[in-house]
Amino acid sequence: MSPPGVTVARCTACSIRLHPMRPDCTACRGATTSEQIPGTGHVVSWTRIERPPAGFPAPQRVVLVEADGPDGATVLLYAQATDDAVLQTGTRVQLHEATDATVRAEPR
Amino acid sequence: MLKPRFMGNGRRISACARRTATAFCARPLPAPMPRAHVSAVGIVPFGRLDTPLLTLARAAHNDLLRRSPDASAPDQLLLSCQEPGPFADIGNAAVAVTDALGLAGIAATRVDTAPSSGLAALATATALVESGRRKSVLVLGVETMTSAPTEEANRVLARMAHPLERRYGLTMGAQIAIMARRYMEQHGIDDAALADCAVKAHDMGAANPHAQFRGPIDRDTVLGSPVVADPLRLYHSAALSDGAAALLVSAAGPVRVAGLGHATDALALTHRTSPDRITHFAATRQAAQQALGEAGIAPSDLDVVETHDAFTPMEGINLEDLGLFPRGTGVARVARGDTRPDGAVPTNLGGGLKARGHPVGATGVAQIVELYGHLTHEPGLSEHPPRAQRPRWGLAHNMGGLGNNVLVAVLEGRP
Repeated sequence: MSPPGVTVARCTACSIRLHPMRPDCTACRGATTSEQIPGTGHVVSWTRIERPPAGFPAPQRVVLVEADGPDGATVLLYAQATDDAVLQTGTRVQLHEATDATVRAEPR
Repeated sequence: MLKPRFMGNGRRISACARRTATAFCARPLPAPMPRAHVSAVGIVPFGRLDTPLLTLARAAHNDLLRRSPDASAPDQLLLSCQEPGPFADIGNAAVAVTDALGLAGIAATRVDTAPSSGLAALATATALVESGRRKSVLVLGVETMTSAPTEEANRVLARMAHPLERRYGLTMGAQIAIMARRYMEQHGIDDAALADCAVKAHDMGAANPHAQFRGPIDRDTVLGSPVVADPLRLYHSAALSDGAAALLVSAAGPVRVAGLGHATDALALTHRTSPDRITHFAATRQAAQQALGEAGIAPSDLDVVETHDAFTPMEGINLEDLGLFPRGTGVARVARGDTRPDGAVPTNLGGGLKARGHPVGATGVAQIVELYGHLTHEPGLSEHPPRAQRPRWGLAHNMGGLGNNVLVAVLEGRP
């Protein structure tokens, strides 16, 4: 597995961080640059999809994570959990980025 | 010097102001702008109909002509249909429908804002009529979704999401599940209360002659149904559906289009920046403020509401965004019956998307048909009147995607 960490967009004008990467900031329309964040965070919500769309195995475990930013700010992102233990609000997770820009979450 | 103040849209000029302006301006003011009204409606019962899209479109139009034989001939058709290609193998859909209705010759345009296309078509028709460009616009909403297997239909509908969200296998329902869990944990809502929201929707659908689900259910039916995306079960989701509905929009009619609002938000949930983006929809708040402001009324003036409850938690959450319930109370209020006909905020009295069915392109049009029934008392449209004896103000709220292309319409019946 890739080392922990996630690439996010950081606004050069207002400093907000957004995931997935995008060229402009949705808060102020400023330009963004890519930035690596450490890859730790906690689960703020989750679902276990028993009836995914065609082409996906069931179940799909998806968590919404507030990732820790370097200066105390957080970044909201979705992540795939491989294990039901992560499906609990408040769980501390370690985040890894896959080559297709999806993020994996596993318990810390 | 007065003149520039009256160069705007003309909507808010009082008779007194107009007289004053006429008295003091050297040149006469232009004729007042026509005001858009819903002058006729038609609908077919929604469900798994095994009927071609063009046949359903014809049936809704025929119902309109049967109810209003003197309806004016439209000079434009606006088609509200989200996925004519994937679901019905139809391209060039605006003219396909216009031709099927025997109207070839008039202008025809398809309007697509995902599942809010119905109200987007109403908004476009309103602009065409109020600009004087058209006299009478037929808004035809139709969708056939049940011919594809459910997994394939979900794949088609999931294309509304951001590409990265789709890579996680997130459907609209799965994203609402994530929002709903956060809301439930923040506001102490349990599975039983959420189930009661579905029970209410089915109770309303049971008396709607056009609803897909006409049998009442109980809490145990909901809690015993299969999990789709935890915490949402089968009975929390509007079913895939076929259906059609039609409106005629012209300069006169029994129901006035009194206000419209339309707002978007970032495609991806995680790109949104409102503080409550995990549980609520900022675009609904913006659209509602615009529509209510244009109508000049407060949320508390509304007699009857139609909101976009594609999944049951959305009825209460949307009513908070619409300004009808305080933050964090909406789902509990729905669960305890406050949106039933005799409740504080009569809402989705025809069953909503959940029980009427949600043929995406037809939904917004069906919401207007439902409100038209309440505001005109035309028989055969709505069987659950709101508590107001003579309802005057109705609001429809129609959502495209995951709350990122939202329209709100305020309708006024004749006092």
